[in-house]
Amino acid sequence: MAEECLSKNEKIEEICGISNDCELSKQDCTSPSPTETVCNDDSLCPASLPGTSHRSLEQSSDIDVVDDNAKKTHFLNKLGLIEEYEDDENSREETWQDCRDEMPEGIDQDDENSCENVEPQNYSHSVTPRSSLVPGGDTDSVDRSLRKRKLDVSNAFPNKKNQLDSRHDYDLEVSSNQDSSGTTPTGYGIGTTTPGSRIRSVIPTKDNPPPEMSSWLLQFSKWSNAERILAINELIARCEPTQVRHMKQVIEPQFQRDFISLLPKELALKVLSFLEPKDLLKAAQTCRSWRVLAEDNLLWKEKCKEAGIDDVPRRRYSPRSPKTHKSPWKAAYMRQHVIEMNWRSKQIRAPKLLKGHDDHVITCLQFSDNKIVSGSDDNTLKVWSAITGKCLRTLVGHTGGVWSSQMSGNIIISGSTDRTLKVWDAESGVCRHTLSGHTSTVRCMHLHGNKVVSGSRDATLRVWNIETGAFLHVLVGHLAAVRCVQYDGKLVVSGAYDYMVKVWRPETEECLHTLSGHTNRVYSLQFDGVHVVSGSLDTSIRVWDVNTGDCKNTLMGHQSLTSGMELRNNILVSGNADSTVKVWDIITGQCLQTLSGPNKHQSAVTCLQFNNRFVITSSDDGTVKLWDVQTGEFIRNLVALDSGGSGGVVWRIRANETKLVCAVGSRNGTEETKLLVLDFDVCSSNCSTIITR
Amino acid sequence: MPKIKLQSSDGEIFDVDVEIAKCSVTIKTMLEDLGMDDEEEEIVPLPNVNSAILRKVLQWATFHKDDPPPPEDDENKEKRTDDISSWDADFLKVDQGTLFELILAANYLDIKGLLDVTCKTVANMIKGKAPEEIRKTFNIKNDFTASEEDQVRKENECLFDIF
Repeated sequence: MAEECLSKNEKIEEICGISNDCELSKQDCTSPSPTETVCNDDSLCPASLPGTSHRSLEQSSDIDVVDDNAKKTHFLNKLGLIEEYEDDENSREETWQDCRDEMPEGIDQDDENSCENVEPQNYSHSVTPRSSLVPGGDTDSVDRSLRKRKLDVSNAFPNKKNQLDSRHDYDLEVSSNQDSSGTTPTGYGIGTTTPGSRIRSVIPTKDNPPPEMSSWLLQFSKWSNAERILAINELIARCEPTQVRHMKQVIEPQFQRDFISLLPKELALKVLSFLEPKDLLKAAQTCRSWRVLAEDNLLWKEKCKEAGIDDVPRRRYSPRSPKTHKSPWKAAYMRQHVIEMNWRSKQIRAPKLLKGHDDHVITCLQFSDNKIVSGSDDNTLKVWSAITGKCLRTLVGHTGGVWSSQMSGNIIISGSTDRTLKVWDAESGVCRHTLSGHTSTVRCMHLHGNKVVSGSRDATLRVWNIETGAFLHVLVGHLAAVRCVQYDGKLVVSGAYDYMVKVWRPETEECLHTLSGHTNRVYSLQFDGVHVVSGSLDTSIRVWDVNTGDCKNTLMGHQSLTSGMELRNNILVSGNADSTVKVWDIITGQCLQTLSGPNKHQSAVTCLQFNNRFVITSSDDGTVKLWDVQTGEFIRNLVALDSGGSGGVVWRIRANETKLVCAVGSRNGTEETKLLVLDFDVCSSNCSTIITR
Repeated sequence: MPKIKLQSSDGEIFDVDVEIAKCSVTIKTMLEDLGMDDEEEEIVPLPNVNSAILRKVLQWATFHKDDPPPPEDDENKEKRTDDISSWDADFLKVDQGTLFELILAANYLDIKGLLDVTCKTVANMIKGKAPEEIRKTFNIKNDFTASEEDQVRKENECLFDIF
């Protein structure tokens, strides 16, 4: 039957010049009722039988809709009724479009069943004058129209009409539906809408609703707000539960707002700015307009700032699909996050082993720009590539053990028990200068610009120009070996075995302050231009004001020698021979965290480094541990030598954002001297899709 | 206390303490720029705010009239959304349409405290939800093509397990 009708309809297309494919104008989209469908079928399909089932009629109606519309429009045009259509259509279109695709499937069946009960009075509907508009109405078709009328009356309940119409319209007009429902906020208060006009627009032909309905609705629209609310209450009270449920489904979306798509951009971004990155990632998957806003570059710049990411890393990824990340700051955040997780929890990749210095001790370690420099008491330094793990150069020339070093760009400076400093070219391995003058071991040094300040067991400090190799100044005043030195380009601060810390102006070679208070040797120093922090064998750490020389705070709590410290933004992290690490606020003098507990180091802490997330510590126990700097919690062992506890030691560590370099060995031959290089960078196996594509 | 009259878009007149009305920077500036004397019975038209919303805004402003001025945004500080007072939380138990209009009104009237708390409330409706839950919450249509959706998921989902 359906096929038959289709062929007939093709004829109509020819006649009317309308095809199913064509874009329908608005009045065409005001869908026909199933009644008309039946009538048209009948008039054009004489072969069809009166007993045709409702179901098959419905099936055919899908095909016939367009032609019916065309015909209907044609007819209405003739009768001059088309304008009335359009008025109704336009007046409330947005309102009903909002709800028409919300129609629940289930109501279909309920309404059809319920129609059987109301059958008798329904017949009267079919004799409304408008039925006469139906063309080709022979008796047969009137019969069928009556029959259909019966079915349709049940459908003529506004909800049902809504549903049937909406199905057609939805298919034909999906995009415009989205547009209108998305952009025009409609009245959401019950009292402000006029359901009467909405219903008229949903059934624009006016053929199908019970004739009482228009007067009913007219009456409704005449009422005041209070009267309408009363009427609505009464109406709801008379509804079946399924109808109330349907009402709820129609009304509910009207109380929802797609804030992000509908608010002005700056307000939508303000809302999104309150989201954490993980929620922004989910918001971006919601729909297109959310995605655009959730990938806003400035938004992610803010998130990066919150997370302490200050720079967009230079693009070193494959340019194959540069559009994957529209926001460079988002890319930076994602990359940083993957790296953080690699440090925290992902499986640690097998480290590179850089073997050298035989069974000697590695005394100092430098690491920058993927270049590693290790100094050893075997009198040499070695330059390594952190990428390939290859030893690039061995710097030979010192006649005693190397105990201190500095690196800047391609320049390496070393201090030795042979009482000299040497300036090396890292690339060629050539010794540029040998700086002689100290009368004992050069134990410490600090480079700033082209000047290096060296501290020696001869109790003096010397200032050198590393480009010319010239000796510039000597700072005399300490009474014992100088063990640690800091230089910020203006002032030199030194700590010595005479328990004193001294502040010097190198140009005049004068000692500005002698900071006395420690009761034992000073081993470590930090200096940020304002505060001097000194760590001593007397177990205390002192915070001094560099301008006045006053001791601002004494940080008590460690049990032994503070061997290594790092200071940043008034946060100090100290590593101690008592096997603990402490995090301090140097302004308040408060100990914020003690990195200990069941996973603590088993012996002296040898070296440490921290950033705004982690503290990395190494120890004589042969481990390197990762801690959360905020909470003080132990995260995990990054390195645990098999020889740990039986002689294996981690002497020095250096880390950058993605790599950790450890100098390990032993004093008893249980562990070969070597460097371990661990890589926590983004690699192809983790999230390559996002970071590297 | 001196009063002024505010007129909503639908013509309703609100008699308001000047000090309360001035929590709106827009109204404050308007009064200063126009040199409106407190004594005069001027009517300030607010064509972008209807009476229902203006009533809500004034309710909020009255409760918060003694609040210290809100601090400037610090872009380096993580933004919190768990600091909404219980009064504000109750006040904002409204449908999304009302909340939407409150945001627009707070923005138009330049009331930072109200704008912050309304935006935070929307943010809290998004937080912790999966994309489909977000769509449901705000009646959003998923307009991604299948391949787009796949791409977007790859871009954003791959880190989920580590958050």
